[in-house]
Amino acid sequence: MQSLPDGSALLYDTDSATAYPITESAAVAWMLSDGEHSIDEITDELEAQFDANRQTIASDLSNLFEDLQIKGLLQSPSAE
Amino acid sequence: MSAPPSATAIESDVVTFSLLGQPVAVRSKEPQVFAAYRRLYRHFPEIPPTPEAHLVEIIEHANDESGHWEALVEYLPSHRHATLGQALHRAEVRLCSHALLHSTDVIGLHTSTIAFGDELALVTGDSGSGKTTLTLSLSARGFPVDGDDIAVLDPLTGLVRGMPRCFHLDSASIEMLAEQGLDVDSKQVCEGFLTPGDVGDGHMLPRRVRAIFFLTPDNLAEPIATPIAHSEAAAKLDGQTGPRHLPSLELFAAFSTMLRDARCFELRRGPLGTTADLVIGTMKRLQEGAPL
Repeated sequence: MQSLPDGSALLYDTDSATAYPITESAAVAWMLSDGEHSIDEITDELEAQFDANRQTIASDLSNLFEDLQIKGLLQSPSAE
Repeated sequence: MSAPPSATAIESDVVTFSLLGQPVAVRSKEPQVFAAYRRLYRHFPEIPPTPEAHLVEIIEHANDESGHWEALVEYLPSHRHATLGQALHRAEVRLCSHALLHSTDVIGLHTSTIAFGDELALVTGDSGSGKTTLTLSLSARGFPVDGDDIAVLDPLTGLVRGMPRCFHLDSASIEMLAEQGLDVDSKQVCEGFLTPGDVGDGHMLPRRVRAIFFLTPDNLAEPIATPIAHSEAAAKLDGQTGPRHLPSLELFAAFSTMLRDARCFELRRGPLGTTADLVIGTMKRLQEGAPL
């Protein structure tokens, strides 16, 4: 991941040589998606850092994880 | 095909420049050729002739009906051009490409560079999106233009320097610019070889980037500048880079350095004058620290 000055980031897939831009909140979620934090814990952190309600955050997070899994950038816990 | 010149011919018929540290040479018997390239590369050092230089040669074929002017690159012949300006342009493209290809310590960006004091606004977008016309409209409003097509990024400092290229303008663009107060026709002093120096360029020194505008080829009633995240900007810039000398991750790190003080916008084009005013107003607010 390449962090950028405004907090957003690029995820770079070295296999496909493709860069995926992600928002600042998605970059925080990505950093916490290390197998050590639960989805609830990630949601807590995003709720603390960003001005959005928990329901919206949970929905956005679900969409983000689904998107990253489709792109092969993130492995679901069940696949481990 | 022209034979390689002797050392004596090199000294008498050639002007050599250092472009980004790369020696490039122009050979001709026509004084106006040297005048044109000295205008174009006036911010780059002229250096003594060297056999290491990448050489272009402009030849006039006065009695050839298929075209009067030919631009040879490294002694290789090409098709004939109707005007000197077209031959100069073909050779200029090759000189710029050569310098970018061999300058491994910079990153080439497909963007125009407009100076706002000691900072730059970059206007980038696909070919045909209107970069050149908007850039020259900003020039008509008093903002020096270093280049309308190529700039180079120093990955260590994040500073950007415009590369002078000759402008390409169709008749519709010339008409629009005339309405903006830029009399391009009278400034096309060498058969269409219009350079940044002809319209008042800047000092061409590397500068900090304050804003990047990604121009889309819309034709709205009013232009719209929408802020975009650095990540989106970096992904777009990734598609606007020239010859790659850095692995992608290092390239993105260089973008990060360049973007540290910059804001990025998608610029949906409206009428030329109001689009230029929007760029100027946005830059002014950024430089004053005013809210957008």
